[in-house]
Amino acid sequence: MDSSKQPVGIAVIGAGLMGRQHTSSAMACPDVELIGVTAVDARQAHELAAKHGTTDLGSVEAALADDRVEAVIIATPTNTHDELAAAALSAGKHAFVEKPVTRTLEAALELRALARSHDRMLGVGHVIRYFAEYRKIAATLEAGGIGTPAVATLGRRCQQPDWAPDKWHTDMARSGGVAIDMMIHDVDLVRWYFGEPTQVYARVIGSDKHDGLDYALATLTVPGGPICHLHGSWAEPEGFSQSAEIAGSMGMIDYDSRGRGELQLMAHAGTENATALPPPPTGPQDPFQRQLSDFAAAIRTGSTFPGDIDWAIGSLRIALAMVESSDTRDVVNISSLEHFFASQDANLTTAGGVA
Amino acid sequence: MKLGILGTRHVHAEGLAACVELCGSTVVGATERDAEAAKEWTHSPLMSFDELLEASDAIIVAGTNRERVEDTLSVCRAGMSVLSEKPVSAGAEDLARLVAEADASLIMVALPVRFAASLQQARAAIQAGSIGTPLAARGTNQGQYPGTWFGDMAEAGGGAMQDHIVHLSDVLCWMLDDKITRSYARTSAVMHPDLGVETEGLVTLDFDSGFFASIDSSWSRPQTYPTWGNVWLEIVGTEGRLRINPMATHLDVFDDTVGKQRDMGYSDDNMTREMVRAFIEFATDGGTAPVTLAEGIHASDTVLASYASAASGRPEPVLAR
Repeated sequence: MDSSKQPVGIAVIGAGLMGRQHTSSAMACPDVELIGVTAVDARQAHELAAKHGTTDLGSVEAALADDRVEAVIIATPTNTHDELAAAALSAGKHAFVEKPVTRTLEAALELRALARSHDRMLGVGHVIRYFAEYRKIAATLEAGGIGTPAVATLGRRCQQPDWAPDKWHTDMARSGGVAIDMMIHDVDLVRWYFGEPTQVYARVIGSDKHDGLDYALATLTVPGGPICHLHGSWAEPEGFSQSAEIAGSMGMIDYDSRGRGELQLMAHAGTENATALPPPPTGPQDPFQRQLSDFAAAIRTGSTFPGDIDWAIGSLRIALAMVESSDTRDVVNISSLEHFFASQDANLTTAGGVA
Repeated sequence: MKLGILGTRHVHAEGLAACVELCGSTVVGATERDAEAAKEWTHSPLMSFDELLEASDAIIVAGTNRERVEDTLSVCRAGMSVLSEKPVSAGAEDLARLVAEADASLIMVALPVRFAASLQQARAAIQAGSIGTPLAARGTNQGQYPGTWFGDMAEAGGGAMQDHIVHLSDVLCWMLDDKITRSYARTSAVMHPDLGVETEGLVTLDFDSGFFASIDSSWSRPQTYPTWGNVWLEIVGTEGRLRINPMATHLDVFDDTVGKQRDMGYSDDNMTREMVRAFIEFATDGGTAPVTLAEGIHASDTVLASYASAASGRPEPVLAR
């Protein structure tokens, strides 16, 4: 068999909302072979393995010691990403980390340096560009379908975080709240559609004030782009939805996931219907599966992975700036990403570490 | 009651006159200084300012933003009640003059949104604690460039922000019993770059209580949009969320004769009619104006802070009077 077609051996770390998603997508993805799963919560890990007929690997150490495992998917609370990814990279594994890559910029830069020094792939789950609706918006903008974009209103929302047993989302130090955990997708969209923001102004409640309830509004300035207004909500009793409205000089794109599913199945049990994720298409159209295929291809062939660590850091900087802007009640200026990385690389060379 | 229309050039003038009649009162006439605009006014007899005051029990001021303060003050000087279009002034100097010279006991500001049934119910729900402590809001009052003098800096004192911030900023203050302390604004002129005023304006407002909100005031609706624009607001509180869309009560009509989809409203609720009704009661019985001059001035102070922010690139304080 052509070695570039050999499925990549994968272990999933984490059995929560995203761990379950990645396990399901990995099972269906022909470009990877799911070796097994592991999680801090032994019961959750066991149930997830049993559900998909895969192996409960027992521990992160066991997963990293398993020669069949070439790459790990890290789908754990954000504040634990750095340690787990560092362990994986140091063990010679490629690492795919859920977004946001880390809770702090410093931790992300350390991982970036570590991935380089170990010559391993470090991918991050910036999955939004794999969603068909957002690809269609990109294509429509690219084709000039609405003239010059004037105002872009991008947002997503879900219920007060209730899906993690330890409620880690309610701790700003662990999750970063709705701005860093969820609005980073819309930051991705702004960067993808319009370019790099130079200024951020935001107002954020913060998920540590009202048992996880959070709400944030941000305005991003993109040179040559439209006024970009982002909203994120963890205060949506109906559960997940996402929307994008881009008004331009010759027309407008209006997308709202609410009421547009091609299949809707609702139990009569009321708010238990609320989910924190969009219902993704299954099969080859599953955005998580497509993302995983690209990651596997990057490992096998050296192809570019769109959600690489540099992209992830670019979005994390903006998301962190939202919280900083709200804390300081002022505009946060964002230096160019090239300049930022150049200065980081210079620090690495002179100081031998991340300054 | 007999009402006179002082200045007819505001897009709302005809609608206000129609609502006077819906309330069982009479429009006795109008005064229009602009010869072109005078030709277009067919609703009621045109007369001089003095004749209008003589014939009327109360006055509706509905000219351009530049004309507004002088018109409002001139009615006050005659000791008559006045319903003054929004915004209450076109700029800082006008506003200072209004503060110094106006008799607030005679003035109601024409901010109609709070008179919509859905807004009245929303305020009652908030004040009954239905959403707990209000924390934040996002609103849109997007429209289309209204044409005529609305894009003329000299007559309007600005573009989309001057036109559309005041409705939702006022409604939020009224619903929350709160005041706006700061504004951060971004503006652009993509929709009509030739006008010389902003056609897009996006503001984020801080309130005294810690509440915050954004308002998209842009003239950003395409020509094929089903209606002129929208008024939409969501408010998040500790115990719940409100979403308010007073224009939701419409049918979607697909109309080949106009080449687009149209919204056809079916509700009997009419915020402008209820506002005019409140003004007629105020002009008859006195008391506190249903929308006070101070509220109108605060809305305009918010607009001024927004222009200051658009110029400086940073959040700017709203004048606390």
